[in-house]
This record gives sequence, structure tokens and C-alpha cells, in this order.
Amino acid sequence: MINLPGENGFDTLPPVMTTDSSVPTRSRWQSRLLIAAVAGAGVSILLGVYGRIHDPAGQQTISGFFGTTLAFKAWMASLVLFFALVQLITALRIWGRIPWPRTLPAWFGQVHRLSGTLAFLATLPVAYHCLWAIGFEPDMSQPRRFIHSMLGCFFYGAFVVKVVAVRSRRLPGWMLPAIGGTVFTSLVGLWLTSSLWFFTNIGFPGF
Amino acid sequence: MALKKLVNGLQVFAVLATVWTVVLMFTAQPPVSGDPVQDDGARIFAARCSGCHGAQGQGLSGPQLGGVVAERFPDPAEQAAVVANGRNGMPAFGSRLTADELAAVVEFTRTRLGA
Repeated sequence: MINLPGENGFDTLPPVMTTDSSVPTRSRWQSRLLIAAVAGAGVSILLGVYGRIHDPAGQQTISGFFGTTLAFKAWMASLVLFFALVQLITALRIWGRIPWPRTLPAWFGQVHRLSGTLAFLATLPVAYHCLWAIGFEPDMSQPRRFIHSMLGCFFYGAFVVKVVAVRSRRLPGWMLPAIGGTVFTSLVGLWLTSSLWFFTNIGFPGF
Repeated sequence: MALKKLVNGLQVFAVLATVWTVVLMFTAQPPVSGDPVQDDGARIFAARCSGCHGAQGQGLSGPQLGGVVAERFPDPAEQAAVVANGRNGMPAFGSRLTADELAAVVEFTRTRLGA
């Protein structure tokens, strides 16, 4: 089943299928994608530059119930991954890739948006501590930290591309899933190089 | 639709939270001791050492430093040599830190961590 905008409360979601007359010309969607990519690349580069030139503060920022900021970050990143999984699963259903639920309730699209928004919100304190207190790791002899730093910058750039792309109805139908998949993959990489490392090297639950 | 309003409100909040986070990144200042050596040491420790030794030197994948490192290495030069050359899986920082930075981080771990 393919859902079109305006049906089942999906008025904020992009079309899955377009008719021939509505297919944008290649140059139009390419220029839109270029704008999104430039914006995303700009964000990634700015974050990387900030991480490099900012002197790491070396302070605990938020710890709360978890006792240490590191444990707080590990669990917040896991929460982000959970919300991202909800968004992935709801997206798969919206795009007709999984059959359940058979009929979509009107609120389904809003759950997709809600999970994405909550995932993004949960990344903010984690990113703040990473960039302000620890900084960017440029040294490739520290592969986990280097990859994590690169992925962190890449994630926000890819997220910006998705935010721009999701508001454009002129991109080809395959584009948004590709961008969303890229965002999700980078998030998984971030979790593997931080939370999983924490849970396996420091301890589980770690507080 | 209530859920749609909630999500819209949350998205506005997310934008505001993002702006606030960026402002905080540029304006928040860590507490300073007034001693430039100690402050350099704290900064280097946070960037280079805390991932393994813990933000408070409590030990994570690397051994605890806070409150015990001065006992383990009565001679600061011996500790500095370990930091510079590495040992038992600890990477060598001799090529990544200047002599002053090395001294600052050693001083920091001996006097401020676990204090």
C-alpha cells in the first residue's frame, strides 16, 4: 500500500509515488539536493572546526542520575538510537516496505515525526559535552575517538540535509529514504563507537 | 489534532534548544584555578586521558589515577616518561604533546585529580 500526501494524516510527509507530470526535471531536484548538501556540509565542517579550535573544557557537564557524564552520554545515545529505530520502522511502514499495521491510523505519521524530533533533542546534551568538554579527536592512532568525532560531525550534516530534503516535494522518491538511511547509519556508527564501547569496556549499566 | 500540535511544539522547542546549545558552546567557561599550568593540564587531561582514565581520574579502561598516581610514581619524571613513551596498551604521547604540556598534565594528575 502506498500512501500519498494528504491521506491518513501524512500531509507533512513526502510523496512515495508521483505521476509522470509531477516528476521534477533532473536539474531542479539536483539543484535542491545541492543546496541541502552544501548546508549539511557547512554544518559538519563548522562542528569539526569548532571541535578543533575550541580548547576542551575538561569538565563534567550533565550527569544526573547516572553519576558521571560518560554514563549519561552512553545512555542518552542509546535513547537516541531507540527513537531512531522507531523512526526507521515507522518510515518503513509509511513507504510500504513492511505490511504492519495493515491499515494506518491517522496519527502514524505524527509518531514518525515525534520520534525523529525526540531523537534529535536527545542528541543535543551529548553533542554539547562531546564538543565543549572533550573536543574533536584528529589523531588517527586513536581510531575509536577519531571515527566517533568524524561521525558526530557527519551526523549533524546529514541531519540538516534530511531536514531540508523532507520539506521538498521535488526530490525523486528514492532520495529521502536514502538520506534518512544515511542519517540512521551514522547514528548506529556513533552508538557503536561510544555507548557500546562504554558498556563493554566500562561496564553495564555503568552507573 | 493534539498529537500534531504536540509535535509542532516540540519541533519549535528543538530549534530553540539547538540555538541555546550553540550559544552555550561559545559562551560557557570552565572554572579556572588561576594557575595556567593547572588549567592547561586539566584541558589536556580532558582531551587526551579522560577517555580511558575517567573524567575524574577514577579509572575506566585505564587504571585509576586520582589520589593514587603520586604514590605509584613518587618521581614525577618517571610518570612523565610513561605518558611520553606509553606502556601496557597506553599510547605514547611524547610526539603529540610538548614538554610543557606533558609537565602540565602530569602536574594536574598529581595535584588536582582525586583531591
